[in-house]
Amino acid sequence: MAGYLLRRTVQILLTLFVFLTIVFFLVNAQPGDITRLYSMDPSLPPETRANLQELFGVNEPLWKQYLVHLKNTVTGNFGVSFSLYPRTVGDVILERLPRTLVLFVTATVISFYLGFALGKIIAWRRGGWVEYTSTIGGVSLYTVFTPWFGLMMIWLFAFKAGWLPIGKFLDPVVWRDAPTDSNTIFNLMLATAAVLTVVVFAVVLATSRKRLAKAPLIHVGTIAAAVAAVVGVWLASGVGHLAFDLVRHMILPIATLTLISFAGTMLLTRNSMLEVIREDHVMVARAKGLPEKVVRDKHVARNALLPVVTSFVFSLAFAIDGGVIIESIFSWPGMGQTLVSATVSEDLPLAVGAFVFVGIFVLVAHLAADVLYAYLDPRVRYR
Amino acid sequence: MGGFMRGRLFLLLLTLGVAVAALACGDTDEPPPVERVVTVTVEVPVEVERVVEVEKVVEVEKVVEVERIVEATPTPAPAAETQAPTGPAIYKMGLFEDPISRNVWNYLGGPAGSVWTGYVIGGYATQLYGYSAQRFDWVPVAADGFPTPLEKETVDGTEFWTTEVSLKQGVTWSDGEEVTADDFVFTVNTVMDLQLGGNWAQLVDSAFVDRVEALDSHRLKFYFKSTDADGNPQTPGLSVWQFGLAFMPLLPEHYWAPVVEEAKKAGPTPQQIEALFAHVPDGEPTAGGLAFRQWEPGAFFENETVPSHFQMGAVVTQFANGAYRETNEQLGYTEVVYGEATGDTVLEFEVGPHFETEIFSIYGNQDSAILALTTGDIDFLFNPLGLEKGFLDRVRQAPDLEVVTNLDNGTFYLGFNTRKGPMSFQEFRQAVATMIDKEFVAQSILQDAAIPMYAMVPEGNAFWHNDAAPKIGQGLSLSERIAQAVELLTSAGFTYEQEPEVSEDGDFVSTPGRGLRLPDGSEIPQLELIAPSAGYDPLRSTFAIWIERWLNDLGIPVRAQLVGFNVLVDRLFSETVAEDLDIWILGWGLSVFPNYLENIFHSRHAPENEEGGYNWGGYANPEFDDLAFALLSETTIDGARALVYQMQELLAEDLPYVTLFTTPKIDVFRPSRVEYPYTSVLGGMAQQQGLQHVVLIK
Repeated sequence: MAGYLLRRTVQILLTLFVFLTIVFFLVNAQPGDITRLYSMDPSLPPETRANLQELFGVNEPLWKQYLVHLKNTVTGNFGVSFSLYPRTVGDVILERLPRTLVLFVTATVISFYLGFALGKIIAWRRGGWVEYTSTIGGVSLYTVFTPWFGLMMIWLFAFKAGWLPIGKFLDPVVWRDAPTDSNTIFNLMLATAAVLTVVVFAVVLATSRKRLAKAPLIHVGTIAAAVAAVVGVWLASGVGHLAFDLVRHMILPIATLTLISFAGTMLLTRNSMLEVIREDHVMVARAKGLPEKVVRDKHVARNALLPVVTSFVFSLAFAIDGGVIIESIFSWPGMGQTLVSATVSEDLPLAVGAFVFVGIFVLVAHLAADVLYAYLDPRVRYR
Repeated sequence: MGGFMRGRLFLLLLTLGVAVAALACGDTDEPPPVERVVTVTVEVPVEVERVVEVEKVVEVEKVVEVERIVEATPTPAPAAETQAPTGPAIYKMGLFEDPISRNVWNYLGGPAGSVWTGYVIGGYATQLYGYSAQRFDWVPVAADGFPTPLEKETVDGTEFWTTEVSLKQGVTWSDGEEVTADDFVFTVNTVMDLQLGGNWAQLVDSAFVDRVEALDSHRLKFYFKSTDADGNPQTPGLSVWQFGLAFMPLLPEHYWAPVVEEAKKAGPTPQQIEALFAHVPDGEPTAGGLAFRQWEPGAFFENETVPSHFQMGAVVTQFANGAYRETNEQLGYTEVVYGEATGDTVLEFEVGPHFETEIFSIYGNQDSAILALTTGDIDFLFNPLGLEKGFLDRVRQAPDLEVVTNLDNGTFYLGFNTRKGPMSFQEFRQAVATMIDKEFVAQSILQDAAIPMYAMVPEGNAFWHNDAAPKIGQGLSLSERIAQAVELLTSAGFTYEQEPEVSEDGDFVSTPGRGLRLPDGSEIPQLELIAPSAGYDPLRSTFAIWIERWLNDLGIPVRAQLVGFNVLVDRLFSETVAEDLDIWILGWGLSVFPNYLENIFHSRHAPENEEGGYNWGGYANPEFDDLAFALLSETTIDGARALVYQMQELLAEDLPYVTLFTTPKIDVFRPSRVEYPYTSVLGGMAQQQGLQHVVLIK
């Protein structure tokens, strides 16, 4: 396994190098450069553009810029953003990343949970109205034109009903004179989610291994207690209302993301379950007289989990780059919008920095998926 | 558990479905929100712009014709009534992008110079002189009266043009420190020492400005070079002095001096500039009435009013006879310029800001921003990208929104590479202009989304616009266009194998022209017309397609290439522009004082004569060059206007550009929440930064 990991790491580094090179030359292949945007004014002295080119270093030969770009990547210093000058790329990414992570990881988890639960049900009860309704509804939402659907959600629940805010991630009036900025709250939310996940998993793992009869009750109790504790801590912190405001703004984009993406997991789970159902061990479990729920959840669903988990890990990795459309529709300025605006405006350092960041996450996710595969399926052994 | 789960899930889906159905049904029962649409054309009666020739007042007639379209119904909006402000008065505005920086040096001289940055920090600074509201008179702001006349003065054997300006007493920064002449001198010196570019270089033109001295705490003396680098005599004209240096923002020396000193230690000049731009202001005092309060990137930007602002509460009155009066009880003065403050009042308002804070909310797309405007989340939307027709229809139907249409101070044009044939022939360019039916495209095809233009100075800039400039091709039928264009070409020596023919009913060209040859007998090569693609600008691409068709009808082989904006601009700035360029379509946003005519058309600004110059077409006309050079040195407004008029006439005849159209500027606001003393203004309300200093919050 160690040898395999070493080989995969080397492969990842090589892939990353190729990726960096392609990203750099693709972004550079666009006509013109960002300094055009600042020099299209006849009242400006003509040397304005030359000065800006010098300031940004885009007057250097391409190979020189490429070497600088490689050096910056290796040293982790992606330089200064052109379009948000003089902010550093690292600073911009650190500002946008938590927003995207909170929104898209939450949506991905909910979407996978919903998709997996529904997939189990429709695989088990084939041919019924539940299957037809879920499949038709899920596939319809999966294939819907995302911008239209996002706007319809806003129109219905924010504009017509007035239940939720119209886009953005916070209400300026609530945040006036706030003791802290939104990024701190987003980071605290991420930390809270991480702690909550660890606690819940630890309890689930511990009770499962001891095969306790009241495990489900303990799970629900643990989750309820943990959630109550989290809510209590946030309320006592003095910034709970700020977190609540962020959560309120998250509801609509998360609902939209969940509705348009859960069907993928649902169908994947269903197909995987249908494969496993035909296995001999399922017949044995049934022959032993085990309850249907136990057969479904422990003997079929668990074995059908493998492709679903892999897909989930990749989805989490791609959550880093956010969703350009969702971020634009819901005015959620995260990594997706950053990628697009940096590329369009030819903000080379920011575009490259954001792409590299996403690239590294995706490659690491591949590695994690490989390792997880081996963990989940004892038959898989890497050499 | 499974059954329970399933039950819950379907209950959830069912609830969702019912909610959707209920909302959708509810919508159909609503009566149409628009009860009536009122279209009012307001022709502002003859206003008089008085201009100053140093201290001698000259009166010039000025007609401002502004179409103001009131599109909203006057029905009261219950939603807005329920949102009557109970807390602090907040002016809520919408943006589509974050500002880039709060650093004014960077904003005016570096990459932070975005329109969004201007909207949010434009109210921080004050200046010696500025434009008056709506009428754009040249009026004192921090200056006490007008400058002394320019005089020649010899100092240490060198001759200068000099003038003096006094500052108002009692003008303070937001931290209570007094605004002094040293602040102005410090700002000028910083620009010159660090050789700042961009707008700073335009404001402090080092070809003219030698130095500025503080005679005392409130008196400035300006020294302008009397000769250029080659020793030729020169005069600091309006664009250099009155509309240049006098418009420079003042920055507080006591805050910025340590920052600038630190930046100067950073190494060579580019590093010094970088260090200055990198400074993030913290507690920077301002003198413009607004100061920074909070910025949550990606979400909102907030400014607060500075109660001690020196103009706060001042009453500005503009009279029909052209007089301008400012009564400031705080500083105890009444300033009357441009004549007697008597007769009819055309505009009166109290200078603010009249709110506690202003919040700029940032939206990722027009849809969300329009919805936010409709629901009352914001009162005014900055939309320099223009309002698409669908959105316009939506805001027109909203019960509590008012739509205001103003003329833009910009132009979209067709440019020629005048260096090579056939574009080098004036008659060819005139024939092209004759063939273009601007009214047809603007009104019939684009449904009034564009306004036809003929002169280089837009009609909206009424004082400088010369309506008498030739309008080639205006009002002609197709038959007349073809006949005139053929006549122009053949008179210049062009020859046809087959002249174009128009159908009997005159509706279309039945036989396109063929075999058009240059006067030297050579065949006209295939010409390329490059224009922005429809994705970037549907108006310009539509014009390009029609122009291609009309020119081919005439027998001119043209192929329209619709390309991305970056591709087009790259072609114009290319080193081979003189050889590769034929015809192109692009646009300019313009300033009120039309010195851009010199920037765009003087032969010295052709790329072959000046690296990065804007005269891409290589237009070279000695007569025009003389006029343009004279404009740079002209020190009186009426003299400048006479020159600008002549330049427009010459350009409309010689046609290095065929001006095609301008666009209406559409602004939308909530009249139940905000009230403006005026909404008709050149360039629209957004260009006036949402009238932050005069808006009243209800």
